[in-house]
Amino acid sequence: MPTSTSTTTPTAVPVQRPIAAAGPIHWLRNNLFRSWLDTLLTIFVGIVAVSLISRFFQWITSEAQWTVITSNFRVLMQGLYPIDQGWRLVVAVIVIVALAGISWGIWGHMFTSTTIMLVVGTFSVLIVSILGPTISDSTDLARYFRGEIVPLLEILRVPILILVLCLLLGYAIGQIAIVLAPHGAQRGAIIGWLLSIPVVFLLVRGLAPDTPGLPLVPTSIWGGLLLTFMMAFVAIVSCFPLGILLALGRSPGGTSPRQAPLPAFWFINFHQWYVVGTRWWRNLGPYPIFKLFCALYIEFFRGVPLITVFFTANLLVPFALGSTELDSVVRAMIALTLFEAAYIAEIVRGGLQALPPGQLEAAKALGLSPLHATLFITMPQALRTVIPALVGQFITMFKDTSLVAVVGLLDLLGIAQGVLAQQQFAGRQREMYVFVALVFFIFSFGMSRAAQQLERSGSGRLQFER
Amino acid sequence: MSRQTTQSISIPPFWRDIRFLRVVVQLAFLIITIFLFSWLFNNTQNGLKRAGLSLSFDFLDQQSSFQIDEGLSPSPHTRQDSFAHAFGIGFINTLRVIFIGLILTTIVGLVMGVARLSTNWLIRQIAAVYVEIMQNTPLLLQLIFLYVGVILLLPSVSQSVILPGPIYLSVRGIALPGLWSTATTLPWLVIVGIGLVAGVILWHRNRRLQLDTGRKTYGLEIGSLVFLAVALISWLGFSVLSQQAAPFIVSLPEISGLRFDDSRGVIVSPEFVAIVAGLVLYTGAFIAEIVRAGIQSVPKGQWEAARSQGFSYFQILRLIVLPQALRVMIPPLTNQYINLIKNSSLGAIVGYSDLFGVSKTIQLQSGQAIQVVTIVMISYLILDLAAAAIMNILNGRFQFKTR
Repeated sequence: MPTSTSTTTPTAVPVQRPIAAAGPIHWLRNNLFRSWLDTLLTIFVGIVAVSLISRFFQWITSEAQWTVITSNFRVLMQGLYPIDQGWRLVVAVIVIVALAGISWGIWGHMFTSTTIMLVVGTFSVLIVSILGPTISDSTDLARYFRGEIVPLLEILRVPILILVLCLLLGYAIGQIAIVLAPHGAQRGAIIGWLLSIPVVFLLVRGLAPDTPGLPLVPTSIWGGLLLTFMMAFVAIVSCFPLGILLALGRSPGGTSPRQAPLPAFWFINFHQWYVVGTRWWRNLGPYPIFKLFCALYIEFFRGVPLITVFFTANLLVPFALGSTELDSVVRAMIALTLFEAAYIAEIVRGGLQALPPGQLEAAKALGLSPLHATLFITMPQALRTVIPALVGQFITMFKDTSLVAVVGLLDLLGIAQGVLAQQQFAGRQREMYVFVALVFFIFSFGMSRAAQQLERSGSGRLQFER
Repeated sequence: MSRQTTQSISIPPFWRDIRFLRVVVQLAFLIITIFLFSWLFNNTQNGLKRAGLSLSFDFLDQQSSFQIDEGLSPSPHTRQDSFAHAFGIGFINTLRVIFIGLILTTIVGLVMGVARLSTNWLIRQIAAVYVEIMQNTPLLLQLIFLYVGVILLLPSVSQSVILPGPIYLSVRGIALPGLWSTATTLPWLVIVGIGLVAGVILWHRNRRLQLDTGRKTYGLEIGSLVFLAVALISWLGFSVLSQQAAPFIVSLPEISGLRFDDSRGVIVSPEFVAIVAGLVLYTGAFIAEIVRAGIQSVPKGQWEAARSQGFSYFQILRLIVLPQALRVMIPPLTNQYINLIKNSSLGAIVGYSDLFGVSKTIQLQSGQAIQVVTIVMISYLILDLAAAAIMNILNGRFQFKTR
């Protein structure tokens, strides 16, 4: 029987008239004007929404002045990174985006609509930016369009083209690889990611001041989106093993078999203090010192705000190490890594706890050593269950990098504020912040969608549950 | 028995015994950690000595020689007050943001979470767009945009945007009508409290009667009527008979010259508005997702059963679904509340004098980095642990009671 529409409301709604009616009017009645209260709400919210959206479009099409972006594009993207070394960044971006595309092709699935949107979007940017300058200045709108919007698209078209092409090519390669050699492809992609870390870092940073071809670009002059990316990249990659170690350190608990209940007012009796103390120590499991250390570490870092950690790292690390050799970018990277590792640890621990105990017991029964059981049995399964939570944390981490502006580093947001502080760009806050927000949005939205797909595709589910 | 046989076959040397290894490894770790920390501490102390600084907390008693304008009173911290006093004011300001923020963000999250599941297409879409935008851009950016791109672009006081209330929006902050207490406030509140208790007792008694007899007893109606009557009559009594002022005076904000009249209404600083609005909008999006997931976790049969019993949509939500959803929601909700508390430290970015903002100033003035950092971190740890403890108690209350 044909049901009316494709909109399935998550919470079942009383179907007042079980008529299999279809068509726009039915849809409207069902989704916008269900009752008089609904109708009132729809009209009120509709008016507010339409007025807001039309105001925004009016701003976009006649007021916004995008020269603040176009004339500062390079500094927003790469900070003070030498212009003649820009190709290194391009290569690094290509490597990462292609890897992301390949992984997408291997583990994910691209909806046709996504592909069409990507291609159409890219082509429209290309066409508008190429044909734009030929529009005649007949109307105000056309003049504004030519003066403000076309230059912005002209600057964006090459990056967008590169990104989309690499992503789609990578996706195609991944799809082909998964058909040809499923296991090899997955292993290859993981090895590729692991290899990309030192490669990208060395590529961007360089080796020594006088290396031919790859001169050193000290981290202290990194800035803009480059700094945001490298902060997030380094922190994500290095907090992950640390987080796993912390999770392992905290997770084994003592088995607490039948414990006699404590008498009331036990704390009056000193012997009971001893009983409680030993009980607590036993419950810490076979590695009480590791467990205490990891628990303290995790609770401490989860209890303080990230900006106080940045602040502390900036103030105390030069004193604590007795030198000022670490520049502030590296300090911020270390602080972010230490901080986020605590969150990763809790997520991984959750995954470990969600595992049925039979897994570890079976591994032990088969004679696997604790190390092997962890490496081959529990950890892979635990990680698989927490992939969505991990990606969520990575998105948070990516957004958190903007906090380095607090200690005076010039990430994307920091540079944006620096630009706005110049006299000639005063009053262009909205354009600038909308642009920065868009950049952050694109990347975090993409990551969160990828995580959702992973969740739905079932790769997060435990495989042995059949 | 079997133990003896294995022992007789081969006793592993003690250095290969797992129990021995455990102790050795952990002791080694402990010793290395202690050495590392003492080395770092030593370095720090030497560095501080070279810079002419100490590790004592004596500086807290010194004059701060800076001023804070944000607080409960018009000039909460003057140049003559001590650093310790400044910390206290910063802590109070942080508490203000957290208190108002937690309440508002819960409301926003609940409304948006329910809106995401609304049967109304338009409202569902708007809630989804709100959640995606808030979740996928950094809070810092939102705060700066709100402060620089919205609040600082509001008109000056004399040309404020006036909303019904009257509520004045201006670049110098928001002025709202306020309730000012008078001499009769306390006795009136006591009487109202008694009325409330009486109303609740009546309501419960009548409801029990209704459950027992099946006769309609209008418990809620009678109870609230009693409460309202007590409140109203005592209000009138205080304001007319005793010839004193009414228990509360409504004080409307007014503009005097180029600024708001300090003695009227409630004037909220633009920085406070920015940090609270930013935190509420940001955290509200995350709470909305938690609310949505919580509601969706309640089986559909519960909705259908309730509907077959004749409950209305909001009754089902309030009486059947939300209590069950709360069980799932409280642990992630705790995380979001703690996040809000920690993120309140971003108030310093928009110039709000909260704990972190004040301590940055104190650090610059006194140079005592370590002590300042210690105080700040311990304060936030206490706040977060307190929030976690309260939410844990709540969590215990809402879990299924298993026999």
